[in-house]
Amino acid sequence: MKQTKAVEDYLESIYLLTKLNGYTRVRDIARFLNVKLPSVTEIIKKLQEEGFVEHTPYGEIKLTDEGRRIGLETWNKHKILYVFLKDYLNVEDETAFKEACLIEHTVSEETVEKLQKFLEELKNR
Amino acid sequence: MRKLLSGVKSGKKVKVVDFIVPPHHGVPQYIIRLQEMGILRGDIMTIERNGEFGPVEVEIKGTHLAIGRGIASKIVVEEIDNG
Amino acid sequence: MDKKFDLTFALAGNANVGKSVIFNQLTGGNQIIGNWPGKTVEIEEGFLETAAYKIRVVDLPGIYSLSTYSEEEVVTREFIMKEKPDVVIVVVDASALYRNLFFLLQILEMEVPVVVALNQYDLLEKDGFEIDIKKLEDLLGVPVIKTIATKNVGLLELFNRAVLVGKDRIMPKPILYGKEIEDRVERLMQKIPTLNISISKRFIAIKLLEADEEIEKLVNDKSIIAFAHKLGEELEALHGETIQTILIRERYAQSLQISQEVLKRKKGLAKDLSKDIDDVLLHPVFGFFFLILILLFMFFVVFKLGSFLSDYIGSLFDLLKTPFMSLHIGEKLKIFLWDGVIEGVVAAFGIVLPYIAPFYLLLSFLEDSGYLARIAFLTDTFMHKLGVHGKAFIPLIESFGCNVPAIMGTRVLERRRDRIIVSILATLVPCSARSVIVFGLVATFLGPQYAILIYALDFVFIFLVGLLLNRYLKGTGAGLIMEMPKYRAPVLGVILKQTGVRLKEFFTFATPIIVVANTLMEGLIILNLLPYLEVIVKPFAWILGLPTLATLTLIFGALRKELTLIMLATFYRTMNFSSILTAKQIFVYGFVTMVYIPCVASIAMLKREFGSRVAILVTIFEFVLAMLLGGILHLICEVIL
Repeated sequence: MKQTKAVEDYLESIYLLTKLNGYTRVRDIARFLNVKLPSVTEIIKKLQEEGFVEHTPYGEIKLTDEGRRIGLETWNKHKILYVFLKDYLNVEDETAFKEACLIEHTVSEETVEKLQKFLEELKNR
Repeated sequence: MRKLLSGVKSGKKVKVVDFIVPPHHGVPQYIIRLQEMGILRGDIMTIERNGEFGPVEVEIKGTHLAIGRGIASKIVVEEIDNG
Repeated sequence: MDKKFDLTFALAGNANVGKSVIFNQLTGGNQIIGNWPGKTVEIEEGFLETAAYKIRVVDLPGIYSLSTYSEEEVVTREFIMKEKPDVVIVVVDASALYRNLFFLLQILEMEVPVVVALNQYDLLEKDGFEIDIKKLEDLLGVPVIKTIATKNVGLLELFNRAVLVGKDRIMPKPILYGKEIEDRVERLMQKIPTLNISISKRFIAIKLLEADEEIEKLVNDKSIIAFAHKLGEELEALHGETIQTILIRERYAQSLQISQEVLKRKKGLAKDLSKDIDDVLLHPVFGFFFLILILLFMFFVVFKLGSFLSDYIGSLFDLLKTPFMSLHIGEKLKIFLWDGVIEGVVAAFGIVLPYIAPFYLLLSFLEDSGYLARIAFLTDTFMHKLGVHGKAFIPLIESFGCNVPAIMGTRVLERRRDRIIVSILATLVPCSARSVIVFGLVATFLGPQYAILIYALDFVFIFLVGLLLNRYLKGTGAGLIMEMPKYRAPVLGVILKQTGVRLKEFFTFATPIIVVANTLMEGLIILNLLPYLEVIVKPFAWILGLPTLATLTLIFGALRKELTLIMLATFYRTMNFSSILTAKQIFVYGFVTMVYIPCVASIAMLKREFGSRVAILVTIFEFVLAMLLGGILHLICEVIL
């Protein structure tokens, strides 16, 4: 199962958009990530091949269970890393958000959970 | 485009996408407070004022709210084009 | 319920909707301020008498929700549940109907008789809208009265309707939420036994669903609470959001629907000048400049007016002295009574009042105009360094008048930790009494530049203490989430009334303390206990490099700050302070009086708000710090200069 950076980013976005609007279309993703439509279609095809999303008859993109799992996990990692960079390391907002987005692809969920626990203990000391 | 509320320029309209809260820990008080003041996921608001420092002023549900920078940087929004 | 009164009205609503204006208009000057037992939230109570009725009116705090976010919300709920007012008059800002309905719906959940005051209707019309009141009444199921409180419009009708509703206890019909929610509320309601506090079962059911801590404590039944949690989780699975969010969304959805049905545009959108004004007043550079200007102006007016009034009232009291002294009672008793009790009263009214009154007037003006929110806006980022948010700046401004109400004013902050930090800083801000000392002593005998230096040192000190407290006191400060009201022209009558209430509140609390403190001090002098005190004071005199007698005056300063100068003059029998103290000593003395401990009234207020432990700790903390810094200052002055 190949999970590249783009795959995880897209699944994260589709997860958020679906949670928000109930459904997601290709052009919603394009607007959300500020990417051109053809690039989005490319990646969606790959996601379909890997079994992370399905195309519904209405032209919407639906997450499979596996796709949702990855999307949620990626967003969780993104959030924890962002809070770490911004609140604890005082990194500037936009930089922290972007860099958290990059770092999330290189660490496992377990590691990030350990980071979260560590930060909790730090706060409670 | 996906952005943090703290990074949206004055005059833009945005849709609230999500709040950045650490997962598995319940909802912090300030998020409930934001929601009670009318900022819910899916809502559309206009950025009235956003300087480099200082709180962000938004217009939502007919009233103006001032949101501290720290909180504003925990709100993920999507910029929507006017119209 | 008070048997003396025929009916009790409770006023509830958001902040900035004109609720206290309505309260003032209804009750005139007949108001007292009380505390809800066990909490520090204050409730204003007044009464209103007509030929037929005697009505008790209670002004509940301005809140946005009935959750457990703040004490004010809890107190409002408890008041309605336990005191069972005959009517709850919900004051709604007509020009912000959508948002105000959110709160109204929560009151309606409590199933109490309600009358809606649709206030600030003039602002709505200025915006170019109107509301179909009949339709609104139909949709809400409660009477709706159009009011413009500042112009006294609609208040009589409001009163009459409230009396009708209250007498007959006309209950509103419940406003129903989505089916999946109502189903579960219904099921929960069936499980809830009738509690001895006869609160609406519907309200309890909804709150249990929301996992509301206070209601869970009230119900005190594990199986019901578990059942409520289960139902809540079902809803969370359905909606993909937390249960609290689901209900918030429901209420807003209802609010939107109702407001859309009744709001009609009459003419084109009127221009709202607030935005243009804010472009100037909230400008990153000019905004601060203007803020400093306003603060300096306030300071200037307060002290000019204050000193004038103070002298005037002082001379009035002096006129009374001769007739009093010619009374036929014991000589010593006469002196004791005059210097102790009467002088205490003079102090409260002649020294404190002249400065606080103009201060409150200006503060009220700033608040009603909407500028106070801008002050919080501008100072938010700075306040964050001290671990609090912009609203905390306002009690600090109040401290310049007097620390006591400023400490009370920290109630605007949501967290106790934040309130303690700001209260401590407030006690370090030079109140009018201390400013009088700095002017009377340092400015007069050393020159105004040294007075400014002491102020500057004090501000730096306050900032550093704030940083320290922020680092040391656990927890992070709450962030700013505040409504920005539109700018409004304040109404003079309203400002005067508000100031009157604030002053009354202060004097009821502080005057007894000031009089007692003064009498105690007089007692000490008459009983010749001073020499003993001198012994205790000697080590501190050495640390500060001051003469013992002068250091003794600091003890009196603990009772009332301005006593330091008065006692200095009394002990040395001269007003020419430069003959008693050297220039360096004057400087050290001036600085130490600014920061060394809160006055007795402040300590009493700290105790009231935070408990004895905090009050004692703060007092010791400030005393030690002041001695330390005073000693260092003394050293610097002697060695280096």
